[in-house]
Amino acid sequence: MRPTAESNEFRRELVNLLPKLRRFAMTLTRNGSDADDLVQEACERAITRSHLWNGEGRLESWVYAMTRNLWVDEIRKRKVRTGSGTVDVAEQDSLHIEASADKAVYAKQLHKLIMTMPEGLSSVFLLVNVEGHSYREAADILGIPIGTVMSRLSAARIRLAAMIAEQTERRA
Amino acid sequence: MVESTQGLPLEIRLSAYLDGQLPQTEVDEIDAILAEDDDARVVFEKLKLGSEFGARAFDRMLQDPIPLDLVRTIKDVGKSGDEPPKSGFAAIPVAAAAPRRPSAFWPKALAASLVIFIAGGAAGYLVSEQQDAAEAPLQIAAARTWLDDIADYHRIYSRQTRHLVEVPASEQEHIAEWLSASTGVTFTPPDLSDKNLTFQGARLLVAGGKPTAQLLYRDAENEIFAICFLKSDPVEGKTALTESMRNDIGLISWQKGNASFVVVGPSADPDLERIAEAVSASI
Repeated sequence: MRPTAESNEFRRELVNLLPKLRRFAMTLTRNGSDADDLVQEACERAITRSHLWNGEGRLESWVYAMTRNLWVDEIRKRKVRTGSGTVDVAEQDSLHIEASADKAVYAKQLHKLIMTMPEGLSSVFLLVNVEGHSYREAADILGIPIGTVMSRLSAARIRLAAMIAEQTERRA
Repeated sequence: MVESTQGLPLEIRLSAYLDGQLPQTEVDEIDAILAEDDDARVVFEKLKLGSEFGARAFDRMLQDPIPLDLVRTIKDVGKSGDEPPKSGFAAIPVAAAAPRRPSAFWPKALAASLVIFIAGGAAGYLVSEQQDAAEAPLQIAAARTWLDDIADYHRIYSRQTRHLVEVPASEQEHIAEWLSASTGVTFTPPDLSDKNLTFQGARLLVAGGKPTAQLLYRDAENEIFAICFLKSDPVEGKTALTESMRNDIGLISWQKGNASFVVVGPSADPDLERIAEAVSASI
């Protein structure tokens, strides 16, 4: 059975969205393997529910929100399975970078450095600072209040500036 | 939509100011603070520095290769006759090809860094980062050149009706001799009739600065597919198929012997990969 033209168009848009979707997933999982699994699941869900997409607004916002919800579900499942699971950084207050960050700092692998940021910071930074979503859109995608978007964005920028300073001190 | 930040910490207010998300009354207030308060200016410069540094790092993430399984998932899920995904990575980044705009930020960042980081190392770091930023797009451009050219050609020629090809399919023997001699790659135009593709003819292109053969096929729905190849550095045997995209155009490429090949078609066509597999087995 060949897909309909409408279905083809949706799939085409989804394929074009893949690099950005994968990048967004990386800010949630901070792990390439988990991110790819998450993107795969999100794409499957988006296609099976494509009839629900009304074509208004940005497709990526719809898919991002779906991706974020899937990840929250996955975190909950892991907590049940392991008794502790991965800390849902979307819910944690700490803005401190992990000590292991030093290992991830390479001049030509800056994204590894980004991945050391708590998810709560990097997701907001990506959505607003990099992709130009409004505070409201970012809040809706991530399921957090606008005030939290603003505080995390500010903290992310300060954290990134501090990373440059740390690098500078190491080189000095 | 503008947001009020009254009562929030200064760095949050400055961050919102940077985003232009403050009401005008607060913009005026922040302008006055920045004009008078050195500490506020330092925080603001840090926010700007972090903003640009992070944006650049995230931009680079778009150049990561996309696992082929993800593309297959989108193309195949929900259709009859699904096959389990195979492993493999698209070695060529599928990120949007838009070149990075020249940044007007770095001169400002350098100045800001001198304020924020008095240590002499700061300047050295930022200069080296500038060099990294300058080098990276060049490397990417070099790696992408021939496929970018192929995608551009396909975008133009696939819309041609009367002048789709230079030499028609009726001169198949001549096409094989002509393009083998021109490219240095010996080949036979594959018969793809079992994929419902009809050979239309060929063109000689220049991709990545090298003579490149383009064999054109048409399917029953009038979609145009192409096989392109050129001479390249020799490899042992044959490399895996790797998929990349340029907007609505899908490209599946591989190397075999002393040639690089690519099959080009609509990125949303689920048959593209199977066509590429057939071509790689027969050309």
